[in-house]
Amino acid sequence: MKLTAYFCLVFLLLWQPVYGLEYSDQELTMIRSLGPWPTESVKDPSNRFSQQEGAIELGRQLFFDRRLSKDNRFSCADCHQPNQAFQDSLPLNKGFDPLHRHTSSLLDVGHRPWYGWGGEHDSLWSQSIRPMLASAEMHTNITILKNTLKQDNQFQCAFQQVTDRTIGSFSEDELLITLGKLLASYQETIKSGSSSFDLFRSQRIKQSSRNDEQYLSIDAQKGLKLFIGEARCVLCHSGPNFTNGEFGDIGVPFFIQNGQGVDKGRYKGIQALRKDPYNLLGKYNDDPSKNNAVRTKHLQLLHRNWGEFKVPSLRNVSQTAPYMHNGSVRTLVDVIDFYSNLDEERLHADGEKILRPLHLNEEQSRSMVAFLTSLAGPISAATENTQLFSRCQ
Amino acid sequence: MKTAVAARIGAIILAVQSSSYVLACSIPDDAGVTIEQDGLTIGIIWQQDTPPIVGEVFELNIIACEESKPFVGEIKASAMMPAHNHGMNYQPNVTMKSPGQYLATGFVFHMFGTWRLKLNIFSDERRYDIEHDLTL
Ligand code: HEC
Ligand code: HEC
Repeated sequence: MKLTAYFCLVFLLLWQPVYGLEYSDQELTMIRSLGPWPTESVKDPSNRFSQQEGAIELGRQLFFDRRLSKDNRFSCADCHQPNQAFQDSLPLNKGFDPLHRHTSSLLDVGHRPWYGWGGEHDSLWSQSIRPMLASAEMHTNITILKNTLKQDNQFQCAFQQVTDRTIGSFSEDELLITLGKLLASYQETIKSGSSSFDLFRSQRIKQSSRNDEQYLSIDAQKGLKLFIGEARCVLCHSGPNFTNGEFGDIGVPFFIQNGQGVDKGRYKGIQALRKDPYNLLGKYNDDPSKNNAVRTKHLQLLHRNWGEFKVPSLRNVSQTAPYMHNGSVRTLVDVIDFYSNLDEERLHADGEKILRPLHLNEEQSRSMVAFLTSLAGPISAATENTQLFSRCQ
Repeated sequence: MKTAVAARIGAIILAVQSSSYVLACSIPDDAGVTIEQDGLTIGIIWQQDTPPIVGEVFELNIIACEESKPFVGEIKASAMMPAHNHGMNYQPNVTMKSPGQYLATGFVFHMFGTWRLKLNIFSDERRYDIEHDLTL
């Protein structure tokens, strides 16, 4: 009897330190649903250039090309900076005019159902057309663009190699769409890799071994438990991308600074999408089956869409401060404070009954930040591949 | 003249045959859900026989039998989450493929939790309001 007790004690002493937290079946189901990561790349059927080597390189060149803006002022990369997780680290940037929305990070931007904080676009390529024409951003037009690009022999040659046609043979509309599709082909390669959370997840779901603190600290695991449990974050930030791809109102003010009115978010987004001649219901969708347009076709405009904004992905979120559609929240600690002290009055009365102030204590807040920080993996994107167009030099 | 008569007889035979075929209505074995209410039986067949996945577009086939005859009318479909008091962001569309057989498209359940599928099934004479809860 004494001996058994002794062995038990030794066993406990030996094993206790390497035993992680216990997870219920329900928790394990949730953890499983947050992967696998990275996901396999799939071709975007609406974009005939998607995943083509030449298109990716030409799109990359365009992404860094200031000639896509008036007076050669900005390239896409000036706001979506590769060394800042493809955003700009500013609350609100300034193009030709001050912007009233925070620059989105372009990590894992391929294959989203909606683009823009209000979901104004349903494809990456139609979203990519917008900044070139927006007067506050790059402020150019396709007539100017066409002339500029036509004067560049090297670009002309590469463009013809990729599209099989000369720039001159494109109508202005066609050219604009093609530039959007080339830019999209490059952006599809911008990805975040496997994070500590992903290592933890794959370990957890395939092995009975509980020795997984080496992948995810106990602190971060406690944060994970809150995230998928009591705090209900996973209801909106769900799936491998940590977003359900839809929209929500979490009570971030929608008044625009300096009394410039309100940002109606998803409400305006749906109206804009329906009017967009380049949406997936139109003739520029390269998928003849139009199976990829089901969401756009069935979308309904609801009163509650007023003040809803896109649920952002949380991958590499520790590198994409500041936060929210208006860049109004400075750090991850502040985000957790925000959720902890939600002002219920400010949430729409008829809004989602999901959110409630969490009143997290200091330790819980720290765990949540530790968990969110564990979602960062190495960032990659297609790199220079100019020899593809060596015959154009 | 003769051919016209023959054609007419043929048409009658066809009509009788097809109507007796149409008359029989039963819920197929592969239906994921079967619901009976006030003499109406509904079978729901999930696309590819798998129940909906969070965040993914899906469609469903609905078989409607009224006292074992196919129900011919109209169906309006919607879904909502009772716990959160919100519906889908999408408006499904239902079309009748053949008597008693309907195809409903344009569903996305964008959150984990319990969804209530609502079918308003009606003709000039009757109306059934059917609800079915499923948890993702
Ligand atoms: C002046 C800064 C600026 C420039 C230049 C700029 N962007 Fe953006 N980008 C933004 C802002 C701000 C948003 C958020 C816009 C919104 O939600 O309405 C955004 C959003 C996006 C998104 C949507 C991401 C998502 O997840 O919804 C994509 C894609 C994008 N930009 C691509 C581009 C491309 C391609 C270019 C160059 C052609 C470009 N941007 C140039 C500031 C900029
Ligand atoms: C009802 C859906 C919903 C729930 C639940 C939810 N979020 Fe969010 N989250 C959003 C939306 C929508 C935004 C963007 C709001 C805006 O910009 O106005 C957001 C923004 C964020 C951001 C900022 C990301 C960025 O890039 O700007 C973080 C971080 C975040 N949420 C974490 C959490 C955590 C942690 C929880 C749980 C405590 C949680 N969220 C619960 C919908 C939700």
